[in-house]
Amino acid sequence: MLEFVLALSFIVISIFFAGLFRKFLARMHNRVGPPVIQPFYDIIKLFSKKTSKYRNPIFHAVPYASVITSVVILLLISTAFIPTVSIFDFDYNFLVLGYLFILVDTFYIFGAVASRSPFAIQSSMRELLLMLGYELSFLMVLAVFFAKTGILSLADFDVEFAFMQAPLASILLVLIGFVIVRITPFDVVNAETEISAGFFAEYYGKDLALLEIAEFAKDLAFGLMAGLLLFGKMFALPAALGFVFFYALMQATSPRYCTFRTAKIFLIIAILAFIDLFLLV
Amino acid sequence: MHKTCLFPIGPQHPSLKEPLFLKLYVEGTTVKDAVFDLGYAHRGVEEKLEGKQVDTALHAVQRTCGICSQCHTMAFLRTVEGFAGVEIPDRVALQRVIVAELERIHSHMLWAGVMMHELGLDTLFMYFMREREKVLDVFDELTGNRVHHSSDLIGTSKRTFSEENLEFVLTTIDSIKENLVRYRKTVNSHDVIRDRCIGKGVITKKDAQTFGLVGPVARACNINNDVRVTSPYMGYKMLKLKSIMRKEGDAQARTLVRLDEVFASMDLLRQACNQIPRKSKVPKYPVKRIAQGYGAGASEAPRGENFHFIKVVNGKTARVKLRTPTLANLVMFPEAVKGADITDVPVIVMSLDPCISCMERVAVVKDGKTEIWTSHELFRGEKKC
Repeated sequence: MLEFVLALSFIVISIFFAGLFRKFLARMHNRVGPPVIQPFYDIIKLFSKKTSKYRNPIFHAVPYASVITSVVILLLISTAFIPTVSIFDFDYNFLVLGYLFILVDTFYIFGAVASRSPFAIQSSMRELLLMLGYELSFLMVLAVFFAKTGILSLADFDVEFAFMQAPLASILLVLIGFVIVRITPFDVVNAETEISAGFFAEYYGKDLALLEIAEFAKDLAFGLMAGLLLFGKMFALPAALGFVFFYALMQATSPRYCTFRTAKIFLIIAILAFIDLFLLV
Repeated sequence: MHKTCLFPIGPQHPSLKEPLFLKLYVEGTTVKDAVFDLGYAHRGVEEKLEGKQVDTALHAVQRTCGICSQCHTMAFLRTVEGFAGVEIPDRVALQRVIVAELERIHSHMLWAGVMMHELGLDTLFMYFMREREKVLDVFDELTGNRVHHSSDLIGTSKRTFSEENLEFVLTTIDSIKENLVRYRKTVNSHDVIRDRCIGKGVITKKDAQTFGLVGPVARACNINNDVRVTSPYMGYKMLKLKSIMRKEGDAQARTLVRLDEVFASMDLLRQACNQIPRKSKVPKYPVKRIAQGYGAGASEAPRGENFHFIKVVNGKTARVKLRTPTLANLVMFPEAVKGADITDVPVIVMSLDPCISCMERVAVVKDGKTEIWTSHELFRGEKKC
């Protein structure tokens, strides 16, 4: 029951954070922007619309799978803050966290390929290209944090300002966040002006609402996780809010790199993460 | 071996502001071939202009394009006043130039904003649009209209610009220039913008000459085809102007040519505002009746040469042929995107600055082989479609 309540509250908070991101971005654009609760209106409206009649079970299963995985990520991270959620509290659960982040993107790729849209397929090709760079680096960066602090579980992670112990890994984590949260200059996976809506090009109605929720939940999960790892339990939520502001600032001030340049940069990031981990071992 | 597949951009796509179907045949992410499909915004402009009184036709011509309304007006008036032998006073000539150059500034601002949006830099898009808004306020002040200015008549203008109007023009362009200097510096020095634009969609000088490109696209290939310089008309005869040209021929060169043209237009506006005869007023009555005649004329629109061929018979237009700059540049679109990555296609297409709805024409084909309109038929002004 507690998990259910937590999951619901996380979804609400993540949608609220999405609204904050849009508001911050609008102010940086020098415009008023939508109200903070606009994403709630959008999702409610999407739920009221018809779903696609495209008969492909994978296409329709992907939104549910993504939203469930994203919420599980949030519940897994919540073990660091609320010890009573014991079901996800086990040793090396930070590695599972890394895999779950990869799993959400893998589901998107399945959905994109099942939709047969050229935009979605291009988006999944870009994601596969980048995956090698950022997903591996992500796992390695997580490993660096936990190895440096000598802690095996998220629930036991009570180190504050760990970024001082692992400065390179901290910088790499923030850079990896650009791809996970889809922020310029590395948002090639859903570059609006090139490949329309990317993965979600063929989705609408309830399916799209679920995918949006999955995205928002994943963004919040990354913010909370980065806040926890970099600043500690006490400052995780303010840090997550800070990341929303920081990523809005980056979105507002940077154009988009092309796909191959992004892939090259993330290859360098992967090499740096590997060196950081290797030096530790 | 890669399989070639179709990647559609348009008719409805976030990178396009007007309907245009761009069929890209891609291998992996590289464009191997491109075909443009038009006809989604055809309005029958030329058909509508036929059989009208000349002053009524002018009213319709001004509404051909929302961005270069004044340039269509100037091309039409240059042609009609030319073959009818109507002399216009200096004040009218310079007033027309003021509106045309303000139009160029607002068009290039709009384009630069959209280009930044294509690159993913929406903040600069908003900032460019904010500056453009100031120009629209000037239009409102000068002509009473923000988009379709409708400020001119045959042989005259609708109103005399007051001293306050001219002062407002000068203060506004000073305010725009202050910000534009910073924006241009950002566009020219930002690493990501340079990475996305330099060497993308390169058009050689030879290609530009072969395909007969016009406007900033040709000037970015080091071709001086600015009608204001090569064949000055109206107030441009009284002003000093130098064409802005670059040699690179890529998307970055086209961007910088347009931004530099904004500064050149500001300079022209200053000259025009200073040279305008203060004591004179525009003629009270326009020339109403033009019995017959034919001629051709061109004006330099923000996108390039705007060509009009007009034939008047018995006081009514028998044929009005409009060749907008995008029609001249369109042939280059497929060539420019060939060999590019899909990522770069929106940037390349936008760097050519397409304006679709005023360009769309119908070509009726005879027996599936020959076009009905030959140059001879066009000259005679026969109507066959």
